Amino acid sequence: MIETRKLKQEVTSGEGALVILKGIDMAIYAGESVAIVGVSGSGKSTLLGMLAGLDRPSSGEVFLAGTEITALDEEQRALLRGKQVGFVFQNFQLLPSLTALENVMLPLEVKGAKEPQVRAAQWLERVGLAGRATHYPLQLSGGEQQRVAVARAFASEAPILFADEPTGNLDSRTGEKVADLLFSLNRESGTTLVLVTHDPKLAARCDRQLEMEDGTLREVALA
Amino acid sequence: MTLSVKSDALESGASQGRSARSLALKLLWRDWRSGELNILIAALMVAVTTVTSIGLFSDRIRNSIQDEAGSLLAADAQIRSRSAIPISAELRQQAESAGLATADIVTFQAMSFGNNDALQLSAVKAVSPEYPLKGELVIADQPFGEGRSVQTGPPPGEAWIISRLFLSLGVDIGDTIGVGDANLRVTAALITEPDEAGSFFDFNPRVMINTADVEQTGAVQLGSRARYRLLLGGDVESFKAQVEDGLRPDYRWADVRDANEGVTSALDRAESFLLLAGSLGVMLAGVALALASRRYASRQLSHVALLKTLGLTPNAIARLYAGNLLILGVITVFAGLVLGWVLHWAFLELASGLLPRELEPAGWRPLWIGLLTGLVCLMAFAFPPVWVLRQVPPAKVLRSELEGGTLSQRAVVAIGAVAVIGLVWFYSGDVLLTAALLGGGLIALAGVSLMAAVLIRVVRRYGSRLGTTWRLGLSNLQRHSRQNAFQIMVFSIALMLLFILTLLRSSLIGEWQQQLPEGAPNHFAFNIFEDEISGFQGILDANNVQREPLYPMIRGRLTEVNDEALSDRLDRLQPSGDDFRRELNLTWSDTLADDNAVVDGDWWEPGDAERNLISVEQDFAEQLEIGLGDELTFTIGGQRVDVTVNSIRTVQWDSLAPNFYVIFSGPILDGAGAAYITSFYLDADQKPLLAELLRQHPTVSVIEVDAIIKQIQDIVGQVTVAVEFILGLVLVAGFIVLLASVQATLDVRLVESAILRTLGARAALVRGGLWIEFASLGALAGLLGALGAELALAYFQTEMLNLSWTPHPLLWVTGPVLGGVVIGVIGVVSTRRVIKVPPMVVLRSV
Repeated sequence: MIETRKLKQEVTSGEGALVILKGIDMAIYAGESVAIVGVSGSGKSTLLGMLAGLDRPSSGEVFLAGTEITALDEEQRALLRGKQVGFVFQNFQLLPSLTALENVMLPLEVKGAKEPQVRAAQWLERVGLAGRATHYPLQLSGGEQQRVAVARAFASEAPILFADEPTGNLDSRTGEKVADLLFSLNRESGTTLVLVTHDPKLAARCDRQLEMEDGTLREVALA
Repeated sequence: MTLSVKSDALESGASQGRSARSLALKLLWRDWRSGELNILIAALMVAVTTVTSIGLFSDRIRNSIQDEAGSLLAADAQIRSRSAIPISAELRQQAESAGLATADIVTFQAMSFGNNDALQLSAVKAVSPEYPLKGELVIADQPFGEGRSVQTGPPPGEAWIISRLFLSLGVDIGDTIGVGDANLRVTAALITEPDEAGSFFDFNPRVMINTADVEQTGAVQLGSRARYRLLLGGDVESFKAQVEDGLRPDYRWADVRDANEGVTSALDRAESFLLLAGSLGVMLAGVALALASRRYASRQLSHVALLKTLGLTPNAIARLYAGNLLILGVITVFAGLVLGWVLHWAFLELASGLLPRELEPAGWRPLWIGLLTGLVCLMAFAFPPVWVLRQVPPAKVLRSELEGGTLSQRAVVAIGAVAVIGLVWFYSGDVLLTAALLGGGLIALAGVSLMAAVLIRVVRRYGSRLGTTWRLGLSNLQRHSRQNAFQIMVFSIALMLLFILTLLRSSLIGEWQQQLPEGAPNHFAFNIFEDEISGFQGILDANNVQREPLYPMIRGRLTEVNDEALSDRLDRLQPSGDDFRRELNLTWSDTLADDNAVVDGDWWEPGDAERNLISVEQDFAEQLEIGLGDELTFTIGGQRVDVTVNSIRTVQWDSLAPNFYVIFSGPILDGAGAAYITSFYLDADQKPLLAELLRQHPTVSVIEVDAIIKQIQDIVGQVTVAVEFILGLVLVAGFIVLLASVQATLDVRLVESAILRTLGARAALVRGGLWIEFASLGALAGLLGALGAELALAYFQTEMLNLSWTPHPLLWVTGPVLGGVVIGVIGVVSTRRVIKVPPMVVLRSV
């Protein structure tokens, strides 16, 4: 489902070139749930951005759902993202001027899907926030905001879901609830889940764990 | 695989377009409701409103002033014949078929005969029944009596004569006088003619008759010195364009601009000023718009990144935001047009007491200009930051520090500058003014941002010793030094414009009022002979009448310049202004009048009186290309007089004191044949003195110019009102710039203050820090603004407005103080949220 070949990322700063990804080869298969773990600043989020086609690597290739996204321009990558990819972010990334329902409708409207309002309402109900549909993000708690974000990610019905520290901004109990929701919806929809986290408990719920260290990636053997 | 994605992309892109539109409208609506767009809307509205209302207002003032000035011609324009041949009937037909009203004037000299063999050479003006097309003719039932205005001249068989001619001819109302060979009944005393300004120095008393009686007088024959004028009323500009090139060489077109020097120069200055003020208002609004749009765009960055992760393509993003801006812009521009109209109307209602009369209506042009200004501002100032949102990297959702999708300040300034230059050029049609603005603007930008950076450093270094609050405020100033240098630049330009406008306004109005102070002469007296001087002066002085000195005056013709015959020189140079062939009024004097100034050469030294030197008025000299040391030949009383040019002089023609093109260093022809001229001021109560003066000195000619002075004063009044109105509008624009630029930094400040307060800083400390930061920012901007204003004023006063340069020491004090207080208050008031919002709310929303 996702494959990289010799994926490299370098940034030049005042103090010279800094290599963030040192030629990564990896593959993630359809329906898998994979956690990318590692310490802060090890390049986890950078890798996620590359896999999801949000950013372009310095060199190397990324294949997403069979398409070489490193060969596409931003216009084409955006269209591909709209069809193939859903996101859950650490800081929720809800539009403050839209209600919970309208935030869930966003990807449906972007895709030009039919009856976005009905479908978005169904997803809000599935994350247990039917009663909060007309609330604005600032009127919701952090856990509720992230559940709206999860509903938005699944509403697009994309086959691949990327989550960047989805529980990072939540207390452990709320985080656990959001994680439960994320994994159960993932199972029901059969999506491929790629999750960046430094929470070992969350990582342990995935089928596979990959650890970023010093710009390289290695498979963590599961006990 | 790649190919299939591409064709997929096309299909999906189209459906994205449709659904994205409803999303866009929803976002626009929400942004508008949350107040996110307020400053942007206000700035655009102010730009359009300012230009529209200035346009409407100045259009109406200009139309009214032209209408008013038109009355000085008794028409909108005249065609004058220099030869004694009537204006061709063909030209009159052309004018009439172009929809213009026409009237005729013939002026000539003829002897008038009264009772007891009294006779007097008089200046006859024969007018057709349509006269006057503009302005009013005032007559009285008794000489020196109270006037009433009438719409037409005398009917055939009648004559109206000026009051003093009743005395010299020994006649009363109802008597018959002879004008040449015609016998006409005197039915009224002529008090004022609208177009008498042009006939100040018609020496002989006026007799007005009907054109039907001209032939009967026998005074107008082939070769006699009659002058013909065709008066035109209506839309003379298009007719001028139609006939001007084909006009016979002995015809001259005269319109409002030629009617009166004083009115014309006031009008020109007013136009320059209004134009300048209008451009500055737009510039300010443009800056506000650019700042507001930049802030709006920067607040959209993370949203754009999110929308991109959800699959919205860069093109769809551009369409979404550009479309929203266009919808918003068009609505705002139209609202601005309406508001501009309402504002100019409301102001006129309020000022109706100050205005002498109902103003003429405006044309459509101001509305078109407003519309165009709005669209240009939208495109140049608001559009660019929003357009580049398409470049926001989607990975910004993961790492908010990623850059991209914002315009550099340099690009913003460059685009804005091009738009401003384009607009100024469009408003003024004046390349020089535009270039001056461009050059001045570039120097100001570079200079101000450099100085701002230096000043920030200096203030930081020395101010920090004053305590914690100062250290906090000044370190804020230094920390955002790039941003603050930009803000100081914006503030200082706003303040500079404000200073320029305030000072130009007061110096312009002061200058105009000075030119016609209370008690400016309103009567000219001439033909005063040497033996009458003491008697004439005695009456005036005994009645405490304020008067100018007496100047000797003799008439003479300029015939040669450096041995070149004047007619050859005129054919060669084709000067545009005056009729140089006519007789000139010449004088001699050893003192330079207050309203004259030597610009080249020197005024007389002792002993010059015997040397046949002259001083020549500047315009006259320029038209005839006369310079220092040139030899001029005059014919005076049939004698040839050779003189040398010793100085070039400027003359303030609108001072209404006697003034001369040519002043001799000593008595001309030993003073033989000279009569004296003076001017003096009579108020309404002193008016009867005139009759006594003329009874005792019947040969003295007096011209009453109080009506003309009133006209000029009315015009000055109108222009003053216009200037104050426009200053008010520009101030509003400036205020919005301040708000917009403070708002632009609000987000950063919220975060900083939240962090400080989380660390335990008291609100008073944070507030004190803000006060110091904004007040020092304002004071620095005020200082730079004062510097800029002083430089700009020096240029505008000397180069554009032909005024003399005066420094403004007070500006250097008020500039920084005003800047500090105003920007301090606006800054602290508009950032009060920084202290009020709980830190947690701020930090959570980051």
